[in-house]
Amino acid sequence: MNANLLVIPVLAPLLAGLLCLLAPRPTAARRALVAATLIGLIAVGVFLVSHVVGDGAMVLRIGGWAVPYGIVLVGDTLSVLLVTLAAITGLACVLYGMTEQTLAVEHPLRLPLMMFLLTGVNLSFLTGDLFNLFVAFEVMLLSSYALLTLEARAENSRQAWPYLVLNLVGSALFIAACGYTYSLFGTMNFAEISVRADALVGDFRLTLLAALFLLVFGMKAGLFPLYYWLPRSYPMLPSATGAFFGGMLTKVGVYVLLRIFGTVLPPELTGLHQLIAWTGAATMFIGVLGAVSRYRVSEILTYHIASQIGYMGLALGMFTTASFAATILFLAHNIIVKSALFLVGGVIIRANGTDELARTGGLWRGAPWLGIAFFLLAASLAGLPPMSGFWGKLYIVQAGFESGRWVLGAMAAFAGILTLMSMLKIMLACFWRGDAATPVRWDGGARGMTAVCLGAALLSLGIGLAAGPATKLALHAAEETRDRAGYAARVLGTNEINYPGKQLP
Amino acid sequence: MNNQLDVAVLVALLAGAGFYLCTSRRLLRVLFGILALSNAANLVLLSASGDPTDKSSPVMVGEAARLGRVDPLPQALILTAIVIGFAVVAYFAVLIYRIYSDRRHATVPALFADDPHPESPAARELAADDKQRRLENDAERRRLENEAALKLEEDKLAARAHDAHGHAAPGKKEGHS
Repeated sequence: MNANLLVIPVLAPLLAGLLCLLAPRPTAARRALVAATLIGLIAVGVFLVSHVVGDGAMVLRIGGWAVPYGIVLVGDTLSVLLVTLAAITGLACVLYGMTEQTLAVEHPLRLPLMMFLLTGVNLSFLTGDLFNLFVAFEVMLLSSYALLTLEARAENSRQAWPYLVLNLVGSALFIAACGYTYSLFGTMNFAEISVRADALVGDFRLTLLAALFLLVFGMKAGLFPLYYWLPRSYPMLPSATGAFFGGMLTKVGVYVLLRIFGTVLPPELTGLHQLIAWTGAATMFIGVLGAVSRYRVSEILTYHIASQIGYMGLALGMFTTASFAATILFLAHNIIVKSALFLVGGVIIRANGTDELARTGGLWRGAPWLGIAFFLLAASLAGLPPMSGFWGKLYIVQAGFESGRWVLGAMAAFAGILTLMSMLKIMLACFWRGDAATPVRWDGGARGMTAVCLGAALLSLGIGLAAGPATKLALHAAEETRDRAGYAARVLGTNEINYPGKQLP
Repeated sequence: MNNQLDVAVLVALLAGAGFYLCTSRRLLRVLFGILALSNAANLVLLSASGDPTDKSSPVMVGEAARLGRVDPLPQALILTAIVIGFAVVAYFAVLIYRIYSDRRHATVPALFADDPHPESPAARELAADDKQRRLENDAERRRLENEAALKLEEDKLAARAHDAHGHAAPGKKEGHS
């Protein structure tokens, strides 16, 4: 199979973004180009998933350089699955944005920046090299900084400040971590690090490096003491871009934690795994309590991002194959559901003129399909069967009980109840209350936006109903992620001449 | 054997200064802090290429080929990191300008003073101060406006009086039209 396919998810959005910039004003052709790129990416992603599941990970040596010397792109099941989900989320957000805004009011830089953001996200998922990961993160973050302030109102631009400062400090730490990695292992290639790290098990330098990675990526993912930038900055985004941020960006941090701790570093770092699990549990609770205490739809949803990241951290930290599978299933479910909920929040703002719970209402009568979409998505987020969220949470709780971590499992189950409570708050205030402060505004644009939300809700329902294959896929991805020897052999084995993986002196 | 203690001290100094400046209230100082911090990080990366004593640059011509060479890879990586850092700092400077032009404040507590949930007593105090200052400004503006209006009124009256006077004496009419 031609491994060159792996470069498409990186190059296609980059080219589409650049082509968009050629037209100074938003045009229908630009929109068509972006939509076609995303649809193509979904097709490529689905093809890659089906191929990788059957034949194992694909490795592309860019420029044909031998493995530890050049840049490699590695597409294993987890990576290509997330690439597909990123394209699906991107398509939902872009279509939603197109129905929300006419060409005359669309910001000319929104679509190109979305495309550059997707480039960075996809490269983060596919890269097999630490420094290339840094570059991918910076591409992603620079686009996200620009998008964050692009359409912000004057009173909101300050909320970009904590996001920016924290991420810049995180980037500096990331470079430092790259330096330490290179001094310690003499390589930045994931596969080679994983070979050489085994000799350093028990060495405090390895633990220190792993702790630094946890700090950097925990910050990007929004784990407990480092999450406070999140609830401030995301609500300032317009809902179409906010949905992509909420669905994808923090999840990239979770993916990297899975990759670094699962594939690259040896599994003997149990102390740090415990730390991830407990900070995950703390994030889960603080996030959900924040959500219960808020009275705006966008703020409630943003606190839920933190809470769901907590679930993933908790499951990741249990560090069994079952818990990895639970994390991956939950990750996939959450990317779709979370961004769709943000989109529903955008429709609520359009229909009611505001998303403050005190002034919304009348939507069940005015927009029944939106109500159905929200009901399905909220049930999924809270973890009610038969939605996809149910299986994710079930497996997390199950993994906790099976590995004897009763407290963590029980906490995960209890936080689900609080999630349901905060979702009911939105349900009651926006949908079931009969009267709103202003009459419900319902037009063609809102109908199109609702259709996108409904599509995402049905996707979540579909994953929930097809739980068997979905679980099998997640389990396969988890096994592959934790198979360090297999990963290294696969990547290092692509050289024409056998490179003698040099041991450390 | 040199264990690159000098680099370690330099990194510690730069990173310490950078973190200190990052906790500052002033936006511009945070910018400088970020600059120092990213340079410290770049130095860490540079130090990964090893101790350069008795080693040549990685250009393999003539005499130098026989000496040990400095590892060139971290230097290539730093180049990338510096370029990225430059782009980010450029954005950062623009953001500071944008925030300042939006809010007319360049310190963090003043920026977030009228947040719906002010977190520190100092922030609350600042918010109160800010409100007080706005009120005083308003009062001052109103006073000035009133004065200007009064002056205008007076001028009109004077002009009218002058006009009346001018009609009586047609020779001076063009002087104050």
